[in-house]
Amino acid sequence: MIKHQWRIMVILFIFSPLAAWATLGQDENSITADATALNAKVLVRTQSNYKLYDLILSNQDIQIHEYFDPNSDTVFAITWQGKHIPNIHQLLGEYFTKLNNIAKNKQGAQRRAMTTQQNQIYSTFSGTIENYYGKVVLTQKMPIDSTLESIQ
Amino acid sequence: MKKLIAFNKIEFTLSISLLLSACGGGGSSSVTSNTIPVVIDSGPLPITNPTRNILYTTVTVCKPGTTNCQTIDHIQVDSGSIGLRIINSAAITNLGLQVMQVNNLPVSECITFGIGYTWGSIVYADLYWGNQFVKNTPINVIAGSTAAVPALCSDFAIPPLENTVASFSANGIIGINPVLYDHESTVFRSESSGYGYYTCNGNDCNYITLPNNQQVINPISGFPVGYNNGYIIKLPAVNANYATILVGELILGLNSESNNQIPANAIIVYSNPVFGVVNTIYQDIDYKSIFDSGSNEYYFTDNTIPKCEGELYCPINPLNLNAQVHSYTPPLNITTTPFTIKGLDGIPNTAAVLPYIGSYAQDIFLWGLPFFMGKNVYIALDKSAVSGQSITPFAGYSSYTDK
Repeated sequence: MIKHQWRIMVILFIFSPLAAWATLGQDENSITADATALNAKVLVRTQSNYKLYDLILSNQDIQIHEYFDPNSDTVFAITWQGKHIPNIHQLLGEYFTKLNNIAKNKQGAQRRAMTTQQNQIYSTFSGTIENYYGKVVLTQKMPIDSTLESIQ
Repeated sequence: MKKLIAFNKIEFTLSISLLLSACGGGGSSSVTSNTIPVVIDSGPLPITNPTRNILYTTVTVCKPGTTNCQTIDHIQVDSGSIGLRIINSAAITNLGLQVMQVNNLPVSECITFGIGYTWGSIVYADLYWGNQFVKNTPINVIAGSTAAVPALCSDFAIPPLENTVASFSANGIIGINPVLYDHESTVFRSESSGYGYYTCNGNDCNYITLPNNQQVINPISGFPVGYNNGYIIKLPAVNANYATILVGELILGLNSESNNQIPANAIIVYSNPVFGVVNTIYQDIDYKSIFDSGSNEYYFTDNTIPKCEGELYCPINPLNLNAQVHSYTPPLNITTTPFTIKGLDGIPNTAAVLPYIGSYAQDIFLWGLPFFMGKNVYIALDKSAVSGQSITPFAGYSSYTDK
């Protein structure tokens, strides 16, 4: 359940038909674009150093978390967990191409799990059938006092 | 055709025998009707792209009902995925395999293995593995589709696209997860997942669903009764921190022949029938888990172990760890299972067999190929009957025996 120290707001978005790429590295408005594209409801939780947007897909197959830093007006991390991988092109935007380039240079066959940290992008993915997890963090955009482990 | 197939098998058996003798390897590997040689070596491109901890086998595919066949080595044995998928080549193209058609359009498939994805055509072939075969079955030819990868496929997959032998680290993969069909999970029949079957008119591809009996299958499920209820992967222990090669066996069937009996002291845990996973508790957290010959390392979450090369666990001293394996559904059969992680100091780049290698992964516990070394690992398929066992599917293990 939601931790007691978090201030809770539930925002029902009036979705615009104009969806755009994407959220990671973008401003707070881009989260609306993600929610629209993914047909998701949004739950917002505010903590001392960032806001956490939970995107809840209509079929409830996946939970997506978007970490937003109000001080820099930047989404600095995205995580997901669920029965399949979400539209990560939508979620990662320009970082989707960067992630492709990083993954191409990985050595060896990693079929089920991979973690990389290059060019201020930390990523970790794992998955078996109906059990997929992903986390992409812009490490230089993380608020002070945030850690990779705290981003779940 | 029989002569051709027989020759191919003799050739492969001979190569394994030569390998054993050249390496002074541990014992003989006899081929019986349900025994298939498997090997961990440096892969299909040992000079340019040497691989580590990948279990390979050899298959033969033929144009159905003909003697037009191709034997393909370095096919990865993967207990975590489903179906035969081979990288396209001129030799495969020359077989002239018929492409599956739906509504007069060719069928292609997008597959993710968790990490990495492939795109290719669905064709019909006679599949020979060891001394068993499945006739006229759908298989996936990676990079065999004339259509470009649709965005619905690539947008929903963790990169990279692995459509070449070098990027795939194998000439193909034979998935023998306990699940019988590659899209038995309803999630894989949903356009919102991106993975699955497509019909393509040029590069205009549309997602389709296929009934189970038209999908790519776990090939073992198509073998004769007695050999189609499961299998054993048997790999001897590595009595050093590394080796250049390790030869083992895959035995078809469970409790149906003298050589595929599950011993009374084997650990057995029951798998989820839809996606074939069990559970593992590590540091008080319960993870979905799998005995995964397709993972080249142990993968688990531990923020206390030092890392090197990014994600690789590199403890200063060897770490003897424990985790509790248990069933996905009752009876849980919770069993403490030890494993060891070591660093890579002193390990040459030529080492293809690493029994103590592990890496960080979040939200999952993968008993990768190091776990299989020194063990017999038992996998029973979904909806199968195994003498002496009341529940399937299941996974299990015991100490390695060469009997």
